[in-house]
Amino acid sequence: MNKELLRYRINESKIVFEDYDDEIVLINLESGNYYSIIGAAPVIWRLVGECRSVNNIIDGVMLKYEGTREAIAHVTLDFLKGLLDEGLVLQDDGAVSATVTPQPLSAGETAKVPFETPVLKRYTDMQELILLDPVHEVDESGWPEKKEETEEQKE
Amino acid sequence: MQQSFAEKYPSAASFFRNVCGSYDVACLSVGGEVRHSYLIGGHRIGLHFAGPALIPSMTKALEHLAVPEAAPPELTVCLWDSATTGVRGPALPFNTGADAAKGEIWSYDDEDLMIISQPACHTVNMLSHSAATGVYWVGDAAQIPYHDHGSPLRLILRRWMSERHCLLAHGAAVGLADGGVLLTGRGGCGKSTTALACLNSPLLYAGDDYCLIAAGEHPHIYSLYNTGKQNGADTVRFPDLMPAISSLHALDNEKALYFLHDLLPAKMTHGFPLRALLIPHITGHDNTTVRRVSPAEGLKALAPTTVYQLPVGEQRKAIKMLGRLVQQLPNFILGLGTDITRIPDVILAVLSDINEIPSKNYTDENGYPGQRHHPCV
Repeated sequence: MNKELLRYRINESKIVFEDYDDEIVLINLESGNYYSIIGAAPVIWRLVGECRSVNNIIDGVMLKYEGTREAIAHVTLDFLKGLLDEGLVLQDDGAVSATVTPQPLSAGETAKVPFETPVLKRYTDMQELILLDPVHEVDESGWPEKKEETEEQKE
Repeated sequence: MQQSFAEKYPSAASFFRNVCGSYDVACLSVGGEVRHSYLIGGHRIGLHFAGPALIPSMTKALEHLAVPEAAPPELTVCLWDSATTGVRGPALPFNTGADAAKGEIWSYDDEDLMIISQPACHTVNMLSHSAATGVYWVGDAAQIPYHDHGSPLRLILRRWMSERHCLLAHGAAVGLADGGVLLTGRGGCGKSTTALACLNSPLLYAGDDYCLIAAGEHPHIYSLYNTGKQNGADTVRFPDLMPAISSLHALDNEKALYFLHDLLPAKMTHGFPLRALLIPHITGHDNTTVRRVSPAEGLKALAPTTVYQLPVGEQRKAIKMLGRLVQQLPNFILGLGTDITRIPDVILAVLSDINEIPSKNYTDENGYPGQRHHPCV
């Protein structure tokens, strides 16, 4: 898809995150994986959270960091693909972007700094805990359905 | 065709009343109920037993919190077993499956009623908020899982406390009356060893596996259980604690479970203001050291191990609460040395340093702030 149109959104039904400026911790409530993103990654994550197009995200990263557009775009796209592969973001089908108009990007008052490669660290040590006590939740209208292991959990 | 919950019972409240009726019948069948009273997380909680069968299993870990029965409890938990009362367990409004595997949990949760069934263990836990009543049923006291002896009624207390902004955290806690630390991190990182090593020091013991954190502007740790756990092979590190082990016969298959109030009642505490988060890490070096780390490191140590043990509906709120907590408190990696007798002094030094924060206007070399919000500092 055209980068002008392509947008991602945070997978809010499964992901909870805490933002500590230079590091964001993300917790996938379903898989048992949790993540740390550092470098330029928190900047990219916040721009995703503002429902910006991929082109606009790259513009936003360039306002913060030194570097050529080509180099920053390449690394940013790779990072976004990593977020998508891990289920941390979803490709927006237009439902969210139709209701959100991001503010114009602003460089702010701080000078650009050398580009820091965005890093996504994945921690899997809690998966075992998720499978140890599988929970089958029942709602008022029906009977519980047994939750199946995901392919990743079976590995 | 199976009936839905709504078809079988007019309301969740009517179902719960029916269960409480079973408890009353169980009490009659054994000649009455036995009442115990506790102060947990600052709240008065009553455990009412249909006969004596469950009392040893369900009260020993809470003994340090026992108080005389005085005012009516804020929460009453009714407990019965079928083996000695002859009264069957609750007829649950959902099918939990006859082939449920060990550890499987089936739950129902609405705004008022929580039901958690562990079919393989023959246990049911319930809590009605409006009735301020919990119910614990087990087929036979002999079927109570090993870990429930060390942390009884965890599911009911966790839910009730969460409504009172008190989170059941996975961690150990030690400290002094005016402040202490929470030891947290993944299993095997050294939490239990650290907490047990502190029993031979001025530090008081608030718990090993689980503690209650009262969040807010002034975080506080409340003790829940007076137990501790160790791998069987590690019990040799604490020969003086051997008399407190309840499961000496099963150390090959299970962790050693210590009931510490029996042996060291003066070392038990109801809790203390929470001053710091320590993340134990086994180093293999002689000395124990501390290193200040970021709030993000604190959250990675504390949140996953706590949150993944919570029901889905409570996880988001818990992460937000812990996310704030690790910003309020200083976070440290506690590099555990091989000489565990030196660990308590390092923790005491951390507490002493934190107490001096205002006079130093403390920020560390990484620029992480001190306890800006703590009232006791």
